[in-house]
Amino acid sequence: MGTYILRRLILLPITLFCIILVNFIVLNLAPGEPTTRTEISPEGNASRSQSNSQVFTGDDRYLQFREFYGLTLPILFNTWPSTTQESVDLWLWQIVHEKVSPENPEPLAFKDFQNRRVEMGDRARFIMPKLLHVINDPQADPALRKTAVRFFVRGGSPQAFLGPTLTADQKAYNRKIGKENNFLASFLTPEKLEDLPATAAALTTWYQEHYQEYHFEPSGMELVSVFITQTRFYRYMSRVLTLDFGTLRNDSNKTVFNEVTKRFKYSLTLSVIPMWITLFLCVFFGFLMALRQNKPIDYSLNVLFLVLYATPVFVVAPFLIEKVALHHHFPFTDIPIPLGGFTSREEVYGQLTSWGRLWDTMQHIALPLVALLYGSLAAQTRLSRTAVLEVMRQDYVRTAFAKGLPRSTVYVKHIGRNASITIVTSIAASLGAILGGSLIVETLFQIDGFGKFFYDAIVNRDYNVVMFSALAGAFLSLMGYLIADLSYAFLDPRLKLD
Amino acid sequence: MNPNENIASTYWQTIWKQFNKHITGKIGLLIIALFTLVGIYAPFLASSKPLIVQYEGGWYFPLFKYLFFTGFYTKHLDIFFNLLIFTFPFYILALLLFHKTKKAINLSTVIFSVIQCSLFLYLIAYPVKDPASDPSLTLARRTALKGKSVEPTWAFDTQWMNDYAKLNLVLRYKLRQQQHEKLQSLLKTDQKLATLWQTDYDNEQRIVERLKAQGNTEALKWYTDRQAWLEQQSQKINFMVMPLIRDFHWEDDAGGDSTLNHLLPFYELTRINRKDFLSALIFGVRVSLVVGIIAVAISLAIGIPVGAAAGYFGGTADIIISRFLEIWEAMPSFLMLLMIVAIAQSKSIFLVISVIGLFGWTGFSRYIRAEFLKQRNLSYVEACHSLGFGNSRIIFGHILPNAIPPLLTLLPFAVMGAVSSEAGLSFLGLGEEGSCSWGVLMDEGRSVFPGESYLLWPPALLLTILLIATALVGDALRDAFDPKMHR
Repeated sequence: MGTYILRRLILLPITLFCIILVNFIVLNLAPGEPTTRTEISPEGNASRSQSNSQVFTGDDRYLQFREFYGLTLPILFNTWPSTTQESVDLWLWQIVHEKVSPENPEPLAFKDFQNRRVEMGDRARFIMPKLLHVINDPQADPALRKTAVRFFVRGGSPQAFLGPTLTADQKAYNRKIGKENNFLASFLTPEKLEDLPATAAALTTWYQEHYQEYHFEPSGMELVSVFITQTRFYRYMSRVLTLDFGTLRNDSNKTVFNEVTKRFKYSLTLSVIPMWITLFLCVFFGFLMALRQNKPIDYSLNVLFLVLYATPVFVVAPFLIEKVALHHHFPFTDIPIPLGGFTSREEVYGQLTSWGRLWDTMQHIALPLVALLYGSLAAQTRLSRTAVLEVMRQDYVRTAFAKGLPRSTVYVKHIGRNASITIVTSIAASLGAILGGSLIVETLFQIDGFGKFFYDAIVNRDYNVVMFSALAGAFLSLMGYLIADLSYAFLDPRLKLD
Repeated sequence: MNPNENIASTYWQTIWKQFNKHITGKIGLLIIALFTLVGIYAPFLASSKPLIVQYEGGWYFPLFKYLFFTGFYTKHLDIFFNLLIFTFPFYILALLLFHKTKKAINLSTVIFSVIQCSLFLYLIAYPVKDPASDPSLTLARRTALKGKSVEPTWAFDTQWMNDYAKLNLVLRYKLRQQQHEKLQSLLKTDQKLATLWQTDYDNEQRIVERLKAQGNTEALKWYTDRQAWLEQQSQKINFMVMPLIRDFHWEDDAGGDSTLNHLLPFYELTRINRKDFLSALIFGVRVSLVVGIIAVAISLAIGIPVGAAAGYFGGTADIIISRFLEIWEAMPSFLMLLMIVAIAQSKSIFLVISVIGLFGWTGFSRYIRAEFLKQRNLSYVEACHSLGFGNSRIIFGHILPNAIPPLLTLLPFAVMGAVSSEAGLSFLGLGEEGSCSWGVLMDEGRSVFPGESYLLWPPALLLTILLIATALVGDALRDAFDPKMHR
């Protein structure tokens, strides 16, 4: 058993790694990068469509955003340092003339042109020597050289650290690169751009001073490390390994982790309570049906649970809201049934005593609980019926009855304990399914839990939240499997899984 | 050739006998069969084209003319099902004729699928032309117009229309008038309703008023002539068989008004985009059927080979594949579905189907793997080995046919999962736009929820019925395949 658990534990990080990889590829290969819908800044200067900023020197915020998410890097492998001089020349020519190539003077589609510009800006840091070569080439077209200067400046200006918590070192670094960036940006003024020879000379000196510090000319091992580390995936993985899941897209002062933990109590309530209720009810009904096997009550309950099992939650939840809650009261009382939310409004809820708050919450979650409960209850009851029937066929049960043990003892000790192996295992393994089910329920009942958070994140394409949620979902289901295995081993001492 | 043929057929006969003992399972199967028939023959139930019409003494079949026209049925899905209208009866006939021998059944299934798919591809590659347009007539009209400088009159225009173009105009006029009168009698009102007929009428009045004010007698005459012509021609339709349930094509603007929904019975409801609700509901069956079948087929296509490889080869292959299965199973599939569909931003039904298929195959794999592990040491497999058969021949020719039957019990539940996943995604607003999937209809119904959600319940009910029927069949199948129940 030990080795089995060990294998599970070893598999856990591998699984999580694979899930990150799959999600990451899906997110990054999607048409339009995750930031294309970033017209979000209140100043309105983060939009992508500012045409006057050829290499995004104008819209710093957008660039910062992309740098922060590592979107300026290739996805899995970085082969950019080995870009050839010819392609750099061609791309510069394309960006200047907005045409396909000198041999084929078709106009470049606007989208291609935009993409070329963005990609060139992203690559700039890795092709600095080639850009410098263009700048220093007296035969080249001046327009080309000017554009190369722009990209050179972009590539030579690293981004500052962002975020709510910066160390003193990071702040010092920010100040330093701030100065450097200002120096480089001073070459973008029209006068300096006109005076190409002087600019070229100054940039060459700057390059000579800094190329080792910034690793502009990687070789050998450095090239290999750039190949692997200068990628989106590596950036993200290294952040995840330090349990840094990033911040919300619209608010860099809120970390994803905090936001999720804040909401987790709702989801936890809505997952643990139904689990226990399911456990008790399904054992009860399972026994009832198994003991009355092939009697009318067994048949009718069987069909009932099958119907419940097949009814989708997005039919039941609206039904509960509209037909049960709307304009109705709790039975035998005159308390209206709340339509949504986890508690009453803050003004009301804050005034209540502890008991009052509990009572208030119970009123609010009564219907969501039903919506979450019925499906798993139906599935588990059918399972527990089979489990009980299976155990009742065993010889030792017949023996126990034959030797005259009290019925209750046989039911609890002989049948119950053995049947519970299957039931508990299956309920524990359903831990991961909680997320999927509660997503719809939380969205419909307006409960600000984990599922709704994830749904909103998907609609808004909040990159960090989506990644974290998929990861958390996978982690939960793996934990569920682990708990299921452990409880299996605990309940069934005969078991040897090795 | 196959000495086991008799035994094999008796095996299936036993299963069928066992299945028949389940009343609920039989009811489920009946419901599914009914839904399938409704799905295939949906154009006969709801369409704006009549099946048969007698017009000016001639007999016309507009619906059949338009069945494969991509300007009318814009979704490939509909074209596929419309083709089934003709191929499906032959398949059933073949099954009835040859149901005695297993080989003939297999053969006719293969022939049927090949014919269906090749005809479908042919229709996609060489689209049917619009029956109402006739290039030679258009050309003739242009040459006739060349010398003249005057505006063409209505009588002149009708000269160059082919019969279907005329018929379409007349039919549209007649049907819109009918619907208008029906709604007026339903609502017991003489007020102006925002039906298509009323809107057309109002528009026409406005143009006529303007032309009168301008004194443009020629154009005015064109309009009055046209009106008179429509009135007169609609009398000439003596005999007409409309689709059984509804006179609207689900993709067409039915001119309804969703603000009237609270006054009307459920069969007269209107979707948000003024389209007809009931006909969308009928065609929605097709989406659910296709999702269930294709998604599960994709799952099977991935799951069976993977599981077979793991079970047959064992050892390292088994370990690697099993670990991979565990990893894949740990993915929160609904979240992944939601994420991929939302991120991909192309809300096409086939993306949804393939993603559902891609995340649903692990169950089949596990099953097949266990079955192969059990069977690979049996003597018949050893016999195959000693005869020198290749691995693929043993896997697909010998073990797989023995491993498949129990797998069938999983299928209904897999179909159920796929259908409800698609509906759930659509319900959350990630379905194909402009689709008639029940989930999309429910999503539209949610916009005035809670309180006035008339549009929410009919699709919800149908979806639930379909899912329950599938589950009932699955339950009965499971019992039928369970040897313990055969006593």
